[in-house]
Amino acid sequence: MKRYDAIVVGAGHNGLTAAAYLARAGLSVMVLERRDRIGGAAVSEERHAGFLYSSCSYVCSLLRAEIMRDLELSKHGLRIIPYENSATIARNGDSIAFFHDPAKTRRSIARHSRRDADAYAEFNRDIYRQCRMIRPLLLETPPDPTSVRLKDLKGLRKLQKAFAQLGEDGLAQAMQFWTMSCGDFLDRYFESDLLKGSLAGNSIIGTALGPYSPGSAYVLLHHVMGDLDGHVGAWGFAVGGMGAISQALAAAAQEHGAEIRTAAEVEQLIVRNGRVEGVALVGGEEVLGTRVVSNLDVKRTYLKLAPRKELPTDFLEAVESFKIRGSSGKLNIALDRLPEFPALRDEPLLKRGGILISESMEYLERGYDDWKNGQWSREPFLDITVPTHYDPTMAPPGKHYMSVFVQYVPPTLADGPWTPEKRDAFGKTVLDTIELYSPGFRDLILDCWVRTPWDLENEVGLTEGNIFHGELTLDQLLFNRPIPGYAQYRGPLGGLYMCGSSTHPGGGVMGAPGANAARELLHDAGVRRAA
Amino acid sequence: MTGAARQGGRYDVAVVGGGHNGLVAAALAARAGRSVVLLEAGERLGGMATLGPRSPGSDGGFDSAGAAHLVDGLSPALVQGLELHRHGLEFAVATMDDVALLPGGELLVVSGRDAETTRRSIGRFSPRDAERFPAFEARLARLADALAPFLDRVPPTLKFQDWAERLEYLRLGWAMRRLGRKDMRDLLRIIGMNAADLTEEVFETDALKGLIGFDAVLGNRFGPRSPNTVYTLLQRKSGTIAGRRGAAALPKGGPAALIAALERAARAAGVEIRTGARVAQVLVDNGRVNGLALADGSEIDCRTVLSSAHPRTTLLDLVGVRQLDADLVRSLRHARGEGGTAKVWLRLGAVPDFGLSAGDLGRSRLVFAPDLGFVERGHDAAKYGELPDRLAMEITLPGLADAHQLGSGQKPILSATLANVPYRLRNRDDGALKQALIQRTTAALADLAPGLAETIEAVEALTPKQVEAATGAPGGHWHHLETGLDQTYLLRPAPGLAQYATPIQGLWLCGAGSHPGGGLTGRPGANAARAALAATRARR
Repeated sequence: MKRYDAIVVGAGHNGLTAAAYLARAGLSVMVLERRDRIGGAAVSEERHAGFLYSSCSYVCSLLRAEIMRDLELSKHGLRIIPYENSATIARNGDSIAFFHDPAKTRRSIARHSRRDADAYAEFNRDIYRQCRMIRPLLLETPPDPTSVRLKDLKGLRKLQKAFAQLGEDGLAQAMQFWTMSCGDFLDRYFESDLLKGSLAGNSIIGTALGPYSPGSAYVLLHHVMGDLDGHVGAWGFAVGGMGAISQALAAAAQEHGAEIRTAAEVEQLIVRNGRVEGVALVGGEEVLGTRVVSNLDVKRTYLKLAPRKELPTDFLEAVESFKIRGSSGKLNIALDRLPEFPALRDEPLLKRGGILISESMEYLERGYDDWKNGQWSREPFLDITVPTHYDPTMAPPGKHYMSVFVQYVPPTLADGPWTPEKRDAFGKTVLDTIELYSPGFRDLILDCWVRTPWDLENEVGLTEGNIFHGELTLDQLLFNRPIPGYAQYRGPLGGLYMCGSSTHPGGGVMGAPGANAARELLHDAGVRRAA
Repeated sequence: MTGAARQGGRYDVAVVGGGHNGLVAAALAARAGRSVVLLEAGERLGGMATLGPRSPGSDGGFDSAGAAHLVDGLSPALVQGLELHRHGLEFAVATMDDVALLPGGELLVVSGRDAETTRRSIGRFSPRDAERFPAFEARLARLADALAPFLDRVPPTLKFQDWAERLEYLRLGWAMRRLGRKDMRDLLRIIGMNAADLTEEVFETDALKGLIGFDAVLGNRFGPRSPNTVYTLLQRKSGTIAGRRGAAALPKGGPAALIAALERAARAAGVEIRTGARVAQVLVDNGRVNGLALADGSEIDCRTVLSSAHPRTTLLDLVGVRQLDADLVRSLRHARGEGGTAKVWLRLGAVPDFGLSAGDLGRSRLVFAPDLGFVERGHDAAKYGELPDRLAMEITLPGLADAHQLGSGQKPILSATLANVPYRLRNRDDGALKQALIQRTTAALADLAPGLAETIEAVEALTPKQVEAATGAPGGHWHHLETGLDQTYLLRPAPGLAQYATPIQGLWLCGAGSHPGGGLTGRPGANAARAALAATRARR
């Protein structure tokens, strides 16, 4: 029976990234995917005839340029088009818009507050300084601060240098940034509610924190530190939907000889003498491998796949304490034609970018309070995009596909688990909200696919529906992610690696955890990177 | 300077503000041989500690009540260094018990003296929790122990190239490593966490989680689900009083007696104390202190000023923004410090029935915070400027342990510290807030102690705005500024001001707005005095 050098469990974008790097280095690689399609949460699915939905994740910004280059993703068909602009619309018909051209953004902000227009330049400068410091750390293995091994000391030194580069002011700002709330941070710069609402949206997406929760400023950074073609913080659209990213990654892996099997659900890991030797599939088939890389989150990996008796008790307790909290939902909507947004009447081009519904920080904070009380936000934050502006082939001619990201949605509700009726009621809340900003919107709907955290967990395998495989709070970042002492993509079992978003640097379609895990595995295997 | 201008006198050191930190700083400077004057704007020393319903005319027989009712982190080095026991500091109760009050009359007791009582009390709710509690306490104590030495030290700057700073970071790193790998990992993980998650990882008893969650947020505007409230909990646990880490003590005569002991220590060391002396301006010449101008027109001639006033008051009002860098001004203006804590006092005709004997009541810190959600919902209301329908509170009846603290007619005074109070009620005035505080507190107490309502003889309240008006501290915040991670240690009160020194040479911050924050610890005062004395010694 064939024994692979590496088996990757789960064909999400990180699993595929890891597989591609491992195969490229000459290892024999098998990728096993439970579903009948690859991609995990980076998928394009046709549910309503003629419409292709980016059914889960919907924009691309964080995908590392290094990975694009190393794996030659353009050659494998990936094309990413930057969104030209974005706008936040208010119920009173007002709006605020962000363009590639800073002068235009400035004019838009100045309509609300001249002072804010000045402060915006300063805000950008401060935030990009922090981004520049963090970005090189994304493709690094976090050092263990409790270790005195040379490798960790070197890593700590590197970390210290990165921080020291900021200088005294920048460093103080960084320390505040990692600990303060987004609300307090924005209050330092701005007075306009709509502007603060627009910017605070980035601090709450995917996270069970409110804009006034300490620590939410970091989440803001996490969302703007991506870059597309050198535009820091720019968002882009993948032609063919998010599935195109997974397809390109899979093609890169296969080109280097990796095998990918779908409809192959791993039931458990085969462990002998504290070392992983392969996996057993549902149905009994065994696949043998010297090393196994799990793309699942830390809880699924160790609480579902690994045999409990092989693991230390305090490690198991730590895994059980890892905070994975679903807080997001998604609507995929097929439209008969483009909706009208009166707030964008003067600048119809703005409809081509992201449209945010995020009136103010209090609007978001109250939405968070609903989540805490086990209820979806009665007035939700929405991030709306219409990908068919950029890729008309995603819908029949003249029709459009609209993606609506919704925050906050709890994984279970105060009055019990999700039911189809509650899902419908949640969908209605979202559609009613859009209708407020786009009268007549409802009449355009041909199909509406509502996805709650429950659906994301049961279909895609995101625990509690959390899009980041775990909260991005200080206790779960860097050397704490996912478990202190196990932040270097390895756990207590020999030969078992983690490459999912519950490892550093966390979620978003970034590929960094996959690339980092592959690098660590190759190091252990004694393989110097080929090609 | 003319003779008339100098009538205020000439001193080595002037201390602004007669709160406990000002008294500590003044006493230490005088003991180091400096001539010292302390200037207090009000007629009374003690600042927030003794602030209470005692102004003439409004007294409802509350003559012994102050805003503070317990002492929990008074620096032991200071007690010894200033000989406070010789100057009259005594404890009526050295270690208070924590008692969680529950609707329906049930109690959960965490005894400060007797582990067996605690085990039995928690065991009635959950044997598993009773089993786990000692280990949890020990865990927090070990971590607090590692942090505690840094409460008495000047925080380092972010200038890494400086060897003295490097040494301080090494010391910090060493303190972490000495914890051992397991505890160090634990500390690095939980320090940014929220208190609710931490307690839910360990316990199942709502009352116990509520009690710990309440302690984590009391004094700050946080809910137990706000990240980094484990840090504020650890900070609370890192103080030592009467030889016990993390405990609270009741001074004989109340916190006013602590202030009196500090005053005696200061006077004995030679400090000249002036009340009714409002400082109007710090006189600055060429970037350095050149004296103080008082509101009555007189001037104090001095080269060193230690200000225990709020950092914003000290720098933006007394010095003036024109002397300061624009970034610093902005940091100070945006430092969070709106008060979220209020007081209500009741004078009762009889000992209330909380299910405890009068003796036990006197020794207990009663906490009404029956579960985490209760405290969190209170925080949710307060953050929008609304007063929660049901308030979480800490209650003491000090007169039952210390006859000096009985009200007029030898009646017990119930002192309640209320959490989750908005600084200003949305669209309402402070009078409305005060009335609502009184009404909601008495209603809650009537539920918790049957018959209490009928024995109320007098009632008084203190809102954050009143604290602000009486002390001059903008926001009226217990710690002057919030003590979350973003405003702590080398970021407190703002980056660049954390070493007690200010951009004005000779002007030092020595109040609660500086590291390690408020509470009756005396630490900001002591650390600032040491730093200022070292600097003047170096220059001499």
